[in-house]
Amino acid sequence: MPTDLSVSRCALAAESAAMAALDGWFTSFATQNALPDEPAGELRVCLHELFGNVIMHGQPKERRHAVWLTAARRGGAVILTVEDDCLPFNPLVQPSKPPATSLEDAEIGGLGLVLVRRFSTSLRYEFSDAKNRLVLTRLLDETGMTA
Amino acid sequence: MELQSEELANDITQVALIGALDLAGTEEIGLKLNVLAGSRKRLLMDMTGLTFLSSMGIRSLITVAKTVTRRGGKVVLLKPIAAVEKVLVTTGCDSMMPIHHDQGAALAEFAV
Repeated sequence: MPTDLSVSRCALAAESAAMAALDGWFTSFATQNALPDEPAGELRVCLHELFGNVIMHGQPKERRHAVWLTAARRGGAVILTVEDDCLPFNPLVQPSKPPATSLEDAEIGGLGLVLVRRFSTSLRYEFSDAKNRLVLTRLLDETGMTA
Repeated sequence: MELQSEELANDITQVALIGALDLAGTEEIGLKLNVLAGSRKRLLMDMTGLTFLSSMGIRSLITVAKTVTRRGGKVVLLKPIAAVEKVLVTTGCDSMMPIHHDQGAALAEFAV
């Protein structure tokens, strides 16, 4: 089992006001690990989508939710883990819709998962210890990933 | 997130988006964007200063474009940085709104 070279953790309330803290935390991780701009920017997009999903859709709505984030650099890969205390929900079983080809056909929502799938190498979901857990892996030098 | 608008010739309104158009950013400028979409027919969205775009920002742009188009108008995107353009292309926005890196070509879109 490879050893993590660098691990950073962060806990945030699931609210839009925490986006700045999310950015600050991940920017610090990216800088410390000298991540190239392009994958770092795309991973930031993924974090915004996954964190935003909890804010927008986390159930039950009656109480505030928490999100626990872990970023790890392991060799040539970055592994992001996003955990929340919402009711079980697996975003990966949602159908992947093709991009709209015209404004008339365009749907307003559902594009976050399109970006997460495009900008990640692999995605895994599990529910355990009363938490949703989504693990995103991004190989930094994957051919074609940044084309 | 800031939004600055400027009236150009031929009833074109240039809208400069400055900052990060994410969940927080859309909350900050959403109302101004909706007002522009409901009152202008030719929107040139200057993305030179747009540093970040997430699906929430895409959602705002598509909403604006749908509103303007329903009223017989057009939305054109100008000079997105590479990272922002990749998000636009990945989500198919380039097939909904023309993207240009030359202002003259962008303005010419409104004559089509």
